[in-house]
Amino acid sequence: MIDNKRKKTVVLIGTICLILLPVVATILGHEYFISLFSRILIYSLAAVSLDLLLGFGGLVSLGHAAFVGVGGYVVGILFYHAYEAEPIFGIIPGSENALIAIPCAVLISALFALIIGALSLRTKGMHFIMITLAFAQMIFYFSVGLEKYGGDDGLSLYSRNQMAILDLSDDLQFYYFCLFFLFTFVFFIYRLVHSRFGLVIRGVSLNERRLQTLGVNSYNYKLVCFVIAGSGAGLAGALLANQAEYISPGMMHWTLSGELMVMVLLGGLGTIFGPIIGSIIFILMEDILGMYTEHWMVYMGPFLVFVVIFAPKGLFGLLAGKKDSDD
Amino acid sequence: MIENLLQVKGLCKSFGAVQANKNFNIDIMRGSVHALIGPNGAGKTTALNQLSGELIPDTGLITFEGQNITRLKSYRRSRLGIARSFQITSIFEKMTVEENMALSIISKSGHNFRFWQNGLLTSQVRTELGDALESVGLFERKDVKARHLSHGEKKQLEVGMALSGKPKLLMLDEPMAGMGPGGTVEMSKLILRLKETMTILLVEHDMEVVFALADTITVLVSGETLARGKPEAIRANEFVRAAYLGDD
Amino acid sequence: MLLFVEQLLNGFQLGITLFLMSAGLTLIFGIMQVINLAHGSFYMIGAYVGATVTTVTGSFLLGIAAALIAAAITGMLVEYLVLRHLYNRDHLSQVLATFGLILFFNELTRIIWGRQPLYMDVPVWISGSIELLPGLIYPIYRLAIIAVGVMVAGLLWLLFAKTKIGMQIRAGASDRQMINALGVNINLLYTLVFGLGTLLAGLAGVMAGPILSVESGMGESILILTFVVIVIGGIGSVRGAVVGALIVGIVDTLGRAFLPDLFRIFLTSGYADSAAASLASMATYILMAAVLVWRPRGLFPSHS
Repeated sequence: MIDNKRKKTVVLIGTICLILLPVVATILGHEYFISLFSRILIYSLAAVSLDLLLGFGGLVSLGHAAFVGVGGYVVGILFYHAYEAEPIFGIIPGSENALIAIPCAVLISALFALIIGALSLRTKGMHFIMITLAFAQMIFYFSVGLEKYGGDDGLSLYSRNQMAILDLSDDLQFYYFCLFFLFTFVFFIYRLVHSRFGLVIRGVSLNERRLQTLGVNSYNYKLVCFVIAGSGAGLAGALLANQAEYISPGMMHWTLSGELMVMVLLGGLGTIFGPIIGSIIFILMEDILGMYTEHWMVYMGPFLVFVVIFAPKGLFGLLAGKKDSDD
Repeated sequence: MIENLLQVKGLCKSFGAVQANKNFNIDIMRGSVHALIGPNGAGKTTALNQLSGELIPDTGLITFEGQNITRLKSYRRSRLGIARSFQITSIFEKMTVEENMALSIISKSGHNFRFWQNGLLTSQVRTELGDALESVGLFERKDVKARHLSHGEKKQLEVGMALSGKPKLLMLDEPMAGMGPGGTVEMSKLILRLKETMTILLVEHDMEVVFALADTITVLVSGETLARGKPEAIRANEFVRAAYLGDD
Repeated sequence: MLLFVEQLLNGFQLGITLFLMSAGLTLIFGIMQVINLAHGSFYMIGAYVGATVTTVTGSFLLGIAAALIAAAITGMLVEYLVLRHLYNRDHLSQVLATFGLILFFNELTRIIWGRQPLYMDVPVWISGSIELLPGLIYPIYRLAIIAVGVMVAGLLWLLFAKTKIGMQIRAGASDRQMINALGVNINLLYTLVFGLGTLLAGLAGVMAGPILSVESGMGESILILTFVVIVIGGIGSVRGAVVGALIVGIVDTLGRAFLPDLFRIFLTSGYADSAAASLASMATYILMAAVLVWRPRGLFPSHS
């Protein structure tokens, strides 16, 4: 069992740090960190959503980035059509309003997840991995072909989404905006995993055959899990489009799926909070190591192999203290 | 009430060139302990898998309480009241005993898309969980991770999980496997107790247990039914003795 | 009409490349039950080594030989150092570790050869075109690729149907317990199978060199199509790989060549062009989805 007290302490400290970060950064004069950590928060959100699939559902999906991309593109496309004052297909008006664009992004990525999940979940194991990858690639090619929205080069957005109470173009307010979504989503996932649904989905990942004999139609549960995860990724994508003020097919490239998996691994599979640590580590490494050498990946690769083979429990496990070798 | 709880006629199943079952028949009467015996490789596991829904027969008919369930998926059969245990203990190793049992209980109901409330606190679980754990003697061990249980305890959990949901037909796949004499006695006592409320199909190798517990025996050899009848008749049957029991 | 035949031949040729990639990989999946994302890296290694040696020595044949050796040796090293630790691990671990390998190899090629793509010329002695049918001029090199592919397919067939080790491999692909019971040296078998797979990938890479550009990351785009082939053909089945590769090669090529024009006939708005190009590249994946609905385990699933 994970030492619950220690885990709670780590989470509490982490939360306080994240809340205070912009304040500290401003005091020290390193405002750059606010923007950097906004990105980290967004990737954390995507990674946590992937952890639901990977760590709790036991579903190794290599196509998660596709939903991030869909979310981003919905925001971008709505923005473009509002800016150009030209309705989509002549009927649907665009929008720069965050309260319209972001929910739309989540809904449409959920829809994509429903369709792709419904097809992919007919398979298992290696087939499932390859099929999710293939579908994501399909969406990638589709977005490359969308010349209207920049095709391969992508599309710059004139500004971030607007909304009533907050000014999202202010980096500080945007940071707390992202933090709000991250906390809300993590809280939701935490409750989900401990709920009845969570118990069943954990059972699916541990022993699906047994669960079917006990009376559970595992397909339905896996599909719901897949859709929830996809929606989370779509939300992250919508925020990412805002953060970068730019959308491109790169957002749905399968290497992003791989990177998200690495974040989940580094932080700790099936820990909910772990992926946040994982994405902090990964993106900081990318930034810091990137300053020393542009070839930092040549070290990252073997490092990843090493971690997988010898330390599969991730860093959250190390911090929160593992008494058992399982969990 | 239909006397013949489970009726199987002419079940055939092949894997490529290997015919695992041919013309397998069995009739299980309500309230009885019906044993399925046969030498290794006779096709008992394949037959059982077709009864529980994990394999679909090539030809043949399976009727449960008069309803044709031949092609019904395993989770649906469970809801009709058919439960099974596995020969190689199949539990949720990384979960606690309590969670294992809770999961079995809520699996029966089929509506588990509740995202908010703690899974161990649903009313159904709270009322049934204590009794379920008691009935297999694992209440004291409820917070232990299933993987840390002893072999015997895992078997108890295995059967306990199959029992939750009060099945009409319980199919036990070699429940005595790997058990010492003490465990065998306990399991036999359990089966006799269960017989009062449900029908049992017992697939087993331990002949002492079979002849002690079974009301009816079906003998499976080379994939098909060789003989069926009361234990004394089976013991005396020449063909059975030649093929399986050996002269004793 | 002639255009159709030309594209059909191109589809065949892509199919051959895919076959070389997928034959080895499907065996690795089937026998060792390991999902290896880094298979594309050996394709890339074959291309890079082949291109470099050809340029330095001036001989394409030496280039091919070097490519095959490099791919096979790197493959066996990777199997010994990394993959061996992953055989009994869960799929996620295998995915992550082999993903790490991809990152490593891609960056390594950038370090050694730089970011600019390498160009490889078709060697003079098989360059040029011949007239296959009246009016249909087709490059000899592409025909050569098809010929090599058919030859390799034939050799593989001989290997699997007629030799002892081939039968052991086939047995292993459909039932792992069985090869254990037969007392075969598993470790050696695994290393050899892996080496064979990477050798074929390297061959595909060096042959593709003159047609595509040789650059970091080239392995991944062919890898994903390879996955589609294996999904369609069935894991562990070389026959499935042949059928799947040809189907995917032809559908992808013909789709890209003809679908955009087809769509333009039916759709007239500005969306037609974007939609057409996108949908054309999606044709293979739509095909895969269709096969999945009908046969979730592929056209020729093996039994275990």
